[in-house]
Amino acid sequence: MKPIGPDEPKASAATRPSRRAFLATGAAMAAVAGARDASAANHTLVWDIAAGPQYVDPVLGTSAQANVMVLQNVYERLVWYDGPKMEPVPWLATGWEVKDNGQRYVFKLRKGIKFQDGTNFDAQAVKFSFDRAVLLDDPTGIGSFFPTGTAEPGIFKGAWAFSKSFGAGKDYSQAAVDAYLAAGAVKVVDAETVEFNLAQPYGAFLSDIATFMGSIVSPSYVIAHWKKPSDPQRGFVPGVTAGQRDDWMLANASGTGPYTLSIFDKATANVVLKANPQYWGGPAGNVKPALQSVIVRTTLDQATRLLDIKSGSVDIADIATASVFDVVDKAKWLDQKKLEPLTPGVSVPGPFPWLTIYFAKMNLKIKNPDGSLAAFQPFQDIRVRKAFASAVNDADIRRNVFNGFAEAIPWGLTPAQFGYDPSIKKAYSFDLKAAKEMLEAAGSDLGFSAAKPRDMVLITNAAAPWQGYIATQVASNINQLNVGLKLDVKALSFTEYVNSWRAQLTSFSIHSTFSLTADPNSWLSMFGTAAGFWARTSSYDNPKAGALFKEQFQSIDPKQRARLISEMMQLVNDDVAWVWLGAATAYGQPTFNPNVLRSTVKGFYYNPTYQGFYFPALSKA
Amino acid sequence: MSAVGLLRRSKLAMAGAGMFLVLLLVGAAAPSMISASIVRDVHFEGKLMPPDARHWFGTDDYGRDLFSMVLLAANLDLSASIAIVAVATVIGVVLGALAGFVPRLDQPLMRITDIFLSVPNLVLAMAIAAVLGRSIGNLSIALVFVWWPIYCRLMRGQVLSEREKPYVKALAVLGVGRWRTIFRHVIPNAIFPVIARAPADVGLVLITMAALSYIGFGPGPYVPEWGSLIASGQAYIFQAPWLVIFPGAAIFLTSLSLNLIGDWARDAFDPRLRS
Amino acid sequence: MGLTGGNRLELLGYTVRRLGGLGLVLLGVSILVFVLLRGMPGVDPLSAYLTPGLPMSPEALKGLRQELHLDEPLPLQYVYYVIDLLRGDWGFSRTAAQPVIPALLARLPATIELAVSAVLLSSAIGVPAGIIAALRRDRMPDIVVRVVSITGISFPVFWFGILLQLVFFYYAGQLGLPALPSRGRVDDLVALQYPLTPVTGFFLIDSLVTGNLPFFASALAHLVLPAFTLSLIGLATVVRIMRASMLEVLRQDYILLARSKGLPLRTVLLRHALRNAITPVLTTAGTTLGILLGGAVVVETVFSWPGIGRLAAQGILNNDSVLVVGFALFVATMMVVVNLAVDILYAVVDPRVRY
Repeated sequence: MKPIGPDEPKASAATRPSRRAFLATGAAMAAVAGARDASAANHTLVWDIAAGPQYVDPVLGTSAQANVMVLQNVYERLVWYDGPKMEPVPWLATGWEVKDNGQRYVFKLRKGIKFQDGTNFDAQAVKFSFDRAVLLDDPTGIGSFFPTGTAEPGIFKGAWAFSKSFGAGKDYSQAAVDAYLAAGAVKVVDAETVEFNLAQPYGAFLSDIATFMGSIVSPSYVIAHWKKPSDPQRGFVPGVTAGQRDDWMLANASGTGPYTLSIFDKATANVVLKANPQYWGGPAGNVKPALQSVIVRTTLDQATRLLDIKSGSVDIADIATASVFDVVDKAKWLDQKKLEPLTPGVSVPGPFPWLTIYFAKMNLKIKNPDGSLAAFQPFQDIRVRKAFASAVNDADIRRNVFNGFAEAIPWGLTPAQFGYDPSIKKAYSFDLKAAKEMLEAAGSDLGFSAAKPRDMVLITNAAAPWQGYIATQVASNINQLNVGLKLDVKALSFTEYVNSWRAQLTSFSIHSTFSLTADPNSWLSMFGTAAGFWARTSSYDNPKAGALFKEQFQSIDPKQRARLISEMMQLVNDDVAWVWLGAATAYGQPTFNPNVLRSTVKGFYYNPTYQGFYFPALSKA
Repeated sequence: MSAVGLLRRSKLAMAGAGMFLVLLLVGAAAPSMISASIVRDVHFEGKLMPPDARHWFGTDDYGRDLFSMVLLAANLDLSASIAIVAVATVIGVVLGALAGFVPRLDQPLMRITDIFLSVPNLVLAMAIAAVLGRSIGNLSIALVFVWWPIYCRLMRGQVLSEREKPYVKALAVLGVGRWRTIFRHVIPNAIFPVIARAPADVGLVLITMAALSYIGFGPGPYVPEWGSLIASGQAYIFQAPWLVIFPGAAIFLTSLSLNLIGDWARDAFDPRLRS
Repeated sequence: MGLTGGNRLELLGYTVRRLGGLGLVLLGVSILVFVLLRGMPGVDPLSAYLTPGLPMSPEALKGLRQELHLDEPLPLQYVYYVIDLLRGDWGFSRTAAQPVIPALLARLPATIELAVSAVLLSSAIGVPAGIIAALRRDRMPDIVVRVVSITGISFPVFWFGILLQLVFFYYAGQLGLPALPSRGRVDDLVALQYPLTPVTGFFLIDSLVTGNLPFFASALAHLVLPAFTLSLIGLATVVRIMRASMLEVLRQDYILLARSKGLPLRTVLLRHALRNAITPVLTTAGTTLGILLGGAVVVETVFSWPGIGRLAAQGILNNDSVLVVGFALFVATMMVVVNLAVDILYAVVDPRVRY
């Protein structure tokens, strides 16, 4: 295989002074030179990433944000967030109409666009892409979130009845497949017009299809690498076997986007993207990738990434917030909020509002390992919840645990999201005196006091030290109140930690969660509805909040939706089920970690819905 | 040359003994001098600070004083290593003496020790501790199981050669019982090679324990232990290298002092070297 | 000495006897391993197979119990276990997401490359050091060597590795000096741009053989720090053996012998010293390998070296007893094989051994 990048001068025997000298310096330098030469070329960008993609099929992939980094450069969507703005603009579509009170969307498509395998982009390709998302029905991926939906009646017509992961589906037979297709969720009106039929009005429809979940894939490419299922009972349409992952599409891609997936090495998670010479140029015809080659290299070691960016052998490097003071001045940042790089030639753009929040949750129905209900249920008393919330010094946490890269939030939404409302009130503040009073009062009812103390254990993820820091602070604060609660902190392995909160064994636990869309629906449901992901594991249920959630979900009037969201958030806050530690801010354009750039990298802009960079915007000076 | 005489002659051994004594005293005194609650006290504002007048070893990622943490860890590490070697010695000595005196037990015991000794120390300790579960207690049990065979073989060899000595034959003629002979006469004479090995072994056990604690048997951030201090400090090694340097230096100095004592012990006590 | 027909038969007999003896040892280790996996009081044998946090369905649990013959009496379980071992089925490792033997074999070349480099390094440093110490006995160089030696064995190997990383990787990089890599076997970027055609699985050999110089350079650079760290383990022993061997040679009457042969004294001394040293080195080859593999567990973890040691360490974090115990058996097997090879070598060279 031809080496990528400019040819490297080979070490000739005549110039080697002595074997030892070669071994000592030549070896080390050659290893770095390989990277440096590639990076010095203006048409190649090298990025040291902390965690590379796991797979690149747009209908899968929630936890590895680097997947999305590939998807947003190789695939495209009907509408999109172009530039730093947060409103979707027409991209592969030229326009759309909203009909039937938000239950029908008709899109007009652009002409003359080709997929990377040479075939034409048309309405049939759009139908194929979305039907595929529903029919593949991957339970850990997007097929269940969008367009299937996570609560009845679902989003796409007929998807809820089909899906076994979240919906009412019973099997993956051909009959089930045909039933979904017959429901007519996606209709090809003509080669340039496609129609979506939803099971209910869905306010977030446009923002969802603007993300990677709306990626349009080349049907002929998928079909060419697909095999019919061997099981005669299994339903399918050409290219998609119902309920089954496509191994080829895990590591390969063919979209309409400005870059092609040239290499994706699953073993190392390294990725090489190459500029697409056939790219149609974007709606204004002005999208021309300056970078011909993008090399994304998974480098697990923070120190290596740091040294690489400082030495200039890479153009971008992920630097975890915990190590940010290796690149920026600590005092200037913590006290003046100025990001001043410590090394010349490095630029640290930011801070930017990100789509990650940190929070603590209190379990209202603590269970024993055997599944029975624990005898001591402190968090069912709102005074205990308020007291614990008041014992968290969140300002100290934001400053010293997250190194200043978190901002205070009144609710579990970040400022980057629709519906964020700074006027929402929290029912607590950091006040140890108030906490003591509340706990003493509650203690007399619940049966604990300084004379008769009760033990509690806070469980953290051993692989996430920041949780240990916060838990230790909270435990120490409460223990010092001497009200009869003796808190201990235990660090568990990742799988044990996950099992603990899934099985509701935890009492007070600390978490972070990120959102792949800027739409607030996922977090509103997770924190505010009884069946929501986080609320479920705390047995938190406020029926009024649940009803408000459903209302805003179906609202297609942004003003009305925002009002309903605010009302719902205030209700949940009054219950004090959650302690909002902060919303992460970032520098660079983070995937898993925030990142820093060399000053030679130009054209960067930040959009919170991006995961990693949109490479056509970048160039090197 | 008596043992003590040798000690006085060797300056290195004296230095080693002195150093170890200091470490032992420090480790023993640590829990009374330093409050155990320090382990849970977080001071984030002062985290990852370099060594200064207040914090001689600097502070760690929780803001805790590293000097106190290292001292508290000394207590755990020293007491555990000594206890492990002590228990392994007792088990090995008793079984070895039995093997030497009771022919029916000899072959089976030697086969068993052969098996244990055919797997390297660290690897066997890993395997046993992995099965028992990840904790310092289980690690200690595993290390006892790894170390007793060495003493068993040593003891058995020495007992076999003691048996041929005239005093043992005389005791038998006098009608002294076998067990009395073993425990009151043979063991005290045969034990010298074991004593010769023991100090250096405490050092070896310490390093093995710290290494295994480093790879993952560590007791977590709230129980100070030298190996796990290094493991958690490594994440911040470039911001705060003292987190790795001081606990490591503690292990090194302890091990060095034990090796110096061990050299003297070998010279002084091992009868096989005295010929 | 040539191997006549009769000699060959004797050699064969000796080999078979040694094989039998060592095979018994392995059998014994297999019993130990079996007891660890199935017979530990208070430990549920199934816990090694379950991912903590992901409960198995009752049917799956029943199937697993049957597969492992857990409801049979222990001796019968052992028989099944040994049969599986001989068939190459050493269980399935959750950590590697593949069966134990393929998982270990895939990573073995990395560990061997590291171990061999460490041995070469400790010899390259230790042999001259031991000789010099003997030649200048009780004078400054000897004392220095002995002090460094005792310091060396007191150093925790993993700490040594971390310090090397700190100095030669981080501080060197900070100062703009060429920094030695501290992680992995090769630079990912180099591997991407100049991919290696695998031949033996040993990066240095493969890259040289296929003329892939950038890969060779990167692989060599990545080998320096870990090999140097691992060499610390054997260094003191090599120095001690060389020193003792050289001292013994100096004691004897070689000067006359050298004069009579007309050879320079130095050559004779060195040749005999090295020959004397070979014996203790070879006899302990198996044990040395075992100690190296034990050290490799830690060193590979420190340097993220993708060998069998690091896999075993990851298995610990994962509570993957099947892997860790299988690793112990694997190491014991390797030691036995090496011991057998050394014994046969001896028997070929010295017929007196084949009693």
